[in-house]
Amino acid sequence: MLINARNIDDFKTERKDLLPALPVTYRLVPILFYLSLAFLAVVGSTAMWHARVALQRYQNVVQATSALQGKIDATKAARSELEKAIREATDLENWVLGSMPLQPLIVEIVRSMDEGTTIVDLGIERDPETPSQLRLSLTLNSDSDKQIEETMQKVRLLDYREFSPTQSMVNGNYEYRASLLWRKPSGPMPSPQDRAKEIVQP
Amino acid sequence: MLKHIKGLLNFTIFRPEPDDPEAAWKYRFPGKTTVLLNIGRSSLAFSVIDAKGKIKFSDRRRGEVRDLFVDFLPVVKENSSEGWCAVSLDTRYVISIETNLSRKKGSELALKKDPRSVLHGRYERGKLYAITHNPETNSSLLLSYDSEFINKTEFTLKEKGLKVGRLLCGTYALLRHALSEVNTKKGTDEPVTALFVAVCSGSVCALLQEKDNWVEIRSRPDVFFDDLQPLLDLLSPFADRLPADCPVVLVCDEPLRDLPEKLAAIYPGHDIRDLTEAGLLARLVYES
Repeated sequence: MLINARNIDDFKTERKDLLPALPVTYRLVPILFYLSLAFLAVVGSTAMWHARVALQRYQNVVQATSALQGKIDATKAARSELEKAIREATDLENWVLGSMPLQPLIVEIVRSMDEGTTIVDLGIERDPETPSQLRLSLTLNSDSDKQIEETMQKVRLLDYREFSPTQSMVNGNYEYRASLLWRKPSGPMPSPQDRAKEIVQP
Repeated sequence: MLKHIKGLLNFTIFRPEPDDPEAAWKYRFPGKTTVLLNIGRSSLAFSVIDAKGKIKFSDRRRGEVRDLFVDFLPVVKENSSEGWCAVSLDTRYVISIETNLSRKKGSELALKKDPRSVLHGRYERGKLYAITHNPETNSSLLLSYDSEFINKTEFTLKEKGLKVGRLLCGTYALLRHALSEVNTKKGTDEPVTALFVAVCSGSVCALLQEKDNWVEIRSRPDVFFDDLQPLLDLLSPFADRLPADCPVVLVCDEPLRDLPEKLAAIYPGHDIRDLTEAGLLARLVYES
């Protein structure tokens, strides 16, 4: 004989609204809920960590960019300064190169001055309309106007000839104005080096 | 709604409700301390069951149950999870052997809802029943309580702030336990002969089984308190009728001092098989 007595007979008044326990498979609902919470926590913390790292990187990039921008501005300023200096040097070079053909003429005019004669003003301008012509204006403080003749004699030796000369007396000084024309306009123009050689000759 | 969501998230919604009689006690109160009350006609006992089904401590006193409740109630409330307790009603019950009861499928459930359809002429109005069929014969053990007494007991306990999780007959549960421990082989090849003695909080039930047949039963609640003599007097008439080599199977809710020896004295030449262990009824309640 086999008697199974696993259950105890219960005389308790049963509740009418008693609900059976939910099936075990329904435990998946809270389990999935907790798993999703864990997933959210992991993903959220990872995202926050990445956001923090990205923000740090962004700030680093912004700092590097601003530093580079500062360097660029400094470089630009230095470059503009350099360009300004280059421009001035170029202008100076151009002026030097442009004035180099006139230097023998000026040196000759200055050397032609006798004792007791001083140059008050000397101007040599190239005529913008006819660049081959030079406008000479010379103001001298001298006893006589022979000095002007001697100076122009020296200028002629440099293959210049004058035309439209005017001479006047202003405030006790002799003022001489003339246009100078290069006698060999068809000949080869002396190079600046040739001119320089002439400059160093006594 | 919030309660259900909370229950879903802490998984309590997947456990049976505390007053679900179909679920085992350990699943209804997992990890909680509960109390087993033994209510007799003039005695009251309580046992505090821990989360593992072991008895932490217990007390049993004799006197007016109403007065004893006044003493026990604070301890019971303090040690029961939200007031939930199991109650063994060890008084005003009747255990009898009946024959030719219906064994149709679902008859045990029908016995609770409509006992008349199962018991027919043996049905008494205002009674609640439980039944254990002998699988090899047409006899059955029938336990009956007055439904009014059950209702009154439940009302009294509710009035005192206690919630009844299970209401049982301890003697009947112990007797079934002893029957299941001895009758373990299906079929009639090895018929069992034994005298089963179930003792619970002063109540006694003795069932004589001869070759799987339940031939005689003597059941009486509120037989004794400390003195075992009334118990022995109740059992001694079996001595003349016991077949030779018929063992005596003893099962008590708690060990009773010298009872096996005294049984051996009134049943000389018969083997005394003691199934008693400390906190046995509490363990049965916990596991069922």
